[in-house]
Amino acid sequence: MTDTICALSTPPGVAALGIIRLSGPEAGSICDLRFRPRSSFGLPSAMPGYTMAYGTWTDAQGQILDQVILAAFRAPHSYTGEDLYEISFHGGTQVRNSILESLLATGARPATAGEFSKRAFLNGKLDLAQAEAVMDLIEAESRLQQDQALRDLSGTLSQAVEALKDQVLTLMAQLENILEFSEEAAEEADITAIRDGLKPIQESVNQALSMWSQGRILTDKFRVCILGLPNAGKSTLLNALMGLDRAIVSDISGTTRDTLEANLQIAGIPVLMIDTAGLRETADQIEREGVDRALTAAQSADLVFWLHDPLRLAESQAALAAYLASAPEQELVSLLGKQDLFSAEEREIQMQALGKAPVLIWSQAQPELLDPIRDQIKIAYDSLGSGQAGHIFLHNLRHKDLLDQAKQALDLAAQSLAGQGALDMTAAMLRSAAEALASLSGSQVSDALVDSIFSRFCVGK
Amino acid sequence: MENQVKNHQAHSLADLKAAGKYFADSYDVIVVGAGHAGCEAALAAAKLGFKTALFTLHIDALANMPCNPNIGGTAKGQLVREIDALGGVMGLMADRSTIQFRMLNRSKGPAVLSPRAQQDRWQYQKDMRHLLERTPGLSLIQNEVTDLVWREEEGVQYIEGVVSVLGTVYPAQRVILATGTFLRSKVIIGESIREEGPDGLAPAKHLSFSLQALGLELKRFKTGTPGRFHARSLNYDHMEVQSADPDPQPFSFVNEEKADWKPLANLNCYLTYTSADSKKIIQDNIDRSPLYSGLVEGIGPRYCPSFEDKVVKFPNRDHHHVFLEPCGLESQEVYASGMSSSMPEDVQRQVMHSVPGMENAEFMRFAYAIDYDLLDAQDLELSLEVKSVKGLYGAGQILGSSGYEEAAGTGLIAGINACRSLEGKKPVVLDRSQAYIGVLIDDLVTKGTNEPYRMMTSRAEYRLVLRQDNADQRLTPLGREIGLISDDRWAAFQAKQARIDGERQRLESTRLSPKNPKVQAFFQGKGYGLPEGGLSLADLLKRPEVNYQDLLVLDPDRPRICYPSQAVAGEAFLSPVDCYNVQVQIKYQGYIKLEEDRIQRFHKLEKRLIPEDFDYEQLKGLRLEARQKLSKLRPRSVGQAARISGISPADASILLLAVSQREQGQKTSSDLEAQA
Repeated sequence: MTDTICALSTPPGVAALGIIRLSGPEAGSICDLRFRPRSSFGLPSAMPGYTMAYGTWTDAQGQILDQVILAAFRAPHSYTGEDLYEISFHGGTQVRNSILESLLATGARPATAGEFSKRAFLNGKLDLAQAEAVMDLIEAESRLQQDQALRDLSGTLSQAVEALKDQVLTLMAQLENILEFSEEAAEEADITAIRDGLKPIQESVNQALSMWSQGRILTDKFRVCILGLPNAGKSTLLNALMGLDRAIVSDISGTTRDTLEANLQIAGIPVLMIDTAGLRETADQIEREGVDRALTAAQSADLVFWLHDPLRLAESQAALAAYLASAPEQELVSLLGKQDLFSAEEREIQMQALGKAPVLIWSQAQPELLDPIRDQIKIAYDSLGSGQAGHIFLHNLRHKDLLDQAKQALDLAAQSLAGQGALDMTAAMLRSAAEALASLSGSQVSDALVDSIFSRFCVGK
Repeated sequence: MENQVKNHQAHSLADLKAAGKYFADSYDVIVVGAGHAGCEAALAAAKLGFKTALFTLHIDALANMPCNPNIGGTAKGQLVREIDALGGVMGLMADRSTIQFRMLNRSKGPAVLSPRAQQDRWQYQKDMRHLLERTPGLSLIQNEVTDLVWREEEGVQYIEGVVSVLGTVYPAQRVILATGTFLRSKVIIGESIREEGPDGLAPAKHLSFSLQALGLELKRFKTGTPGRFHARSLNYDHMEVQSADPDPQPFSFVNEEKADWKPLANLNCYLTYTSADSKKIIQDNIDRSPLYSGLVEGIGPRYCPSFEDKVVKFPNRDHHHVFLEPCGLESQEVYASGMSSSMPEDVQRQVMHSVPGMENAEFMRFAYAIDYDLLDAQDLELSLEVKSVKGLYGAGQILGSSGYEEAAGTGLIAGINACRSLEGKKPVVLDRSQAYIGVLIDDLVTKGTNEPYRMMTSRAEYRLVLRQDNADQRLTPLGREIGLISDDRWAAFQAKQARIDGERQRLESTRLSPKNPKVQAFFQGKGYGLPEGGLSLADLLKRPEVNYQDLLVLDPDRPRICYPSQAVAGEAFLSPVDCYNVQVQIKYQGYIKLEEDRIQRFHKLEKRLIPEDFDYEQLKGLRLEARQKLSKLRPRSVGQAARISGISPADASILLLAVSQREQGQKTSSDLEAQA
């Protein structure tokens, strides 16, 4: 594997910035030829790992193509385990294509689907949970897995699925005991217990699958939506959480006419923040559309922040009540914004007007007020994870297929328990389900099963 | 001990010749040990036409059942059917000595339906001896084997024969070790520890050292057996009776075909339970148990715990089963299943007398624990040949298994493969989707075991297809290819297949018209809605409440049900087992199809063979532990590698990727060569 490969790593299409990655033994020397550092920076091949350099990118004729930032990762401390460079350039297909062409002209070759991950894998850079996703690539390179999806794999999926698998194993052990030690175990045969145990597992799997059908596909992000009246300061809050100007912020109400999404990490949780248009009756066609989208986004969110505007408190409360009437199950936290404009006494009056419900206060001028807001996200996230399958985020089609297999097998198991199907068929279907779940979480079934039987039951001659 | 190993260091045939040792006859195959593994191995080798010697410490104790007096049971019954289908003898022998037959799990489904037969253990031995003595090309020799003979060439060891305790050299091209629990065995009862084999027989004290001199690591396991009691001292009045099935079935295909097959007898077994007193006696005396005082060095099985183990591990249970099983027709000995123990004699007496119905039980034999040397099965190939010693094979309990059926299964395979290697043929390796024997060997060789290994149906991932009713279909064609299925039997097998296939097609193609009044009446009787377009007999049979018998009213022209030996020439008929098999195939078609899909997925990795010279050191992505394990065990496929303990799915994926790349690389280079 001596080739140096390159590929666009950001989604294709128009964007403010794009990133091209270059990995392999020649990555440094290729950059040396194409990158002209600004005076204070050295040659790319001499850059230490985890550093950046600013400069211009040139084509094979020495023509300047763009101003870029070059980030260096040195083997083995990179995604692929090889020398790796990331070129951040200004968006636009023209620039992107010419930079890629310049790399090919200098000795790199285009990466095949998933090749970065494949290299990472061969160099021992991926962990267990990621391994099975790579298996997928190996088996079907043509299916064009994006290595983005691989990197998103987090431990939460494995854990939640593993817990489900253990529940299936417990049922299997009970059933196997009846089948295996038929004469000794007669007294312990309790089919009803197995039937009862099966139901919650089926529900969990169904729930996870329904999330897929709701479009929660390639992300395992915790979705937080900000709602409120127009110009309540929603975008300002999002920007504060982001630490940069993501949304267009102005004092003219209705600035955000569409929903804006931003990815961030809060307390280690991958969060998708959704900023929405203000909720109000409007004649403006475009703004009306924005409001509808806001409502749709809010309904699929795991948590909603309702940001009250102290200047229009009564109107805001009415809008909140209307929203809650339409989405009674919603996990929602109220915030009282714009507190940089008010005194402590005024705030006290506002709080009283909001009644008993707990409210967090927020002021642009006091960044420390973000902490309790972040804590709310953490709390909501944790409560979602407490044994609920709401936690199983499906990453790709393969995960969905496996979960579908598990579902099918569990349904058949339930069916054969309910009817007069033979118990060994039930057991076979439970095993199928456990295997599907195990291959989702990267573990195995058979040894665990035998251990489970012996630890639970006193059997043997 | 080191000295003893040195004393056994050795010797090639050339050395022994030079030393002036006495040379007896030479053999193609020598089998050491005449238990259930050794008998199958020797019979297979002799039947395949190789000059074979079967060595035993005690001719009078060959094919002994020193533990439970039965053959079969869950998973084990399937093993016996498979052994029979491949051309082994255990099923045939057991059919001759059955004194009670029971089909276990009748209501729980075809995959776990398991035949079990109580045996007259002495009749079994007599019949086996009869067979061994009358098999051409097979010599039965009572003599202890103390040493192996081997030579070393370019770092590879080759087996050359054995040496007996009398110092006689027996040259052999292949040697199969089937030593059971006899290697340096010790019998433990309370404080008493004696160098003894099972049933008070003499142990094999020397061979272990020769194995160590060969560089093989020995392990030590423990197992045990309950006491035997005189029938006249047991009061069965208040016990549950376990009677024989009214319709006993033979294990062997050969007997299945006969109308006149019958078991020797239909005796009863009895079930009683230990009392709270029994538990208390153990608890009061637990310090006298050698298991808990550290006297026993071997590792015991979880599935066959001693009574004291049960009391310690499940202290909340006041009652445990005691099955009382006769050991033979002539004898009055009764086996007390569930009560294995290594307590001192006085404690054993107290415990047994605290069991209702056994208050006056007369002991004929005491319960004991036994520990013994064995090989590490991970040092063997899936063919059962020892990796480091060409021509040396292992079978039975020396591999870490336990149970007569497991022993017979590995014995048969070792015997077959020793012969095949003499002919330069590829070894027979059954995979996990083909047979319980395959699961057994793969578990032992690939995963290794830390306790005596018992076969269980839950160890088989593809249990729905590994049924006792289709063992012939799965394995008899292979048995024929190997050469252990006679022409007559092969013809009978093919006839059976034709009957089954024909009947299945007939049921699938015979349509029931909704206009037929009989069909209407049938559906009304069952409370079913009648499908408009009608349906086939097979469709109807798929309903859980409908069985083959029920269909008779709708299907008056079906073949007669009778045994092949009763059939009139030219008449279409079905045997009772054909009927059952057809029914299972149709009723469970959907489930079986799903299982077959899983098997296909399983084969994907199983068919990715790892080149023998594969260099694991070059795979940087593998963790160090995985690299070391794989280098040592050298699995033959990626699938097998993935099952090794400590090999993670990530390791397996890396291996798969590397193997695929190598394959592709080879393809590319051969493409290039072709172009050039």
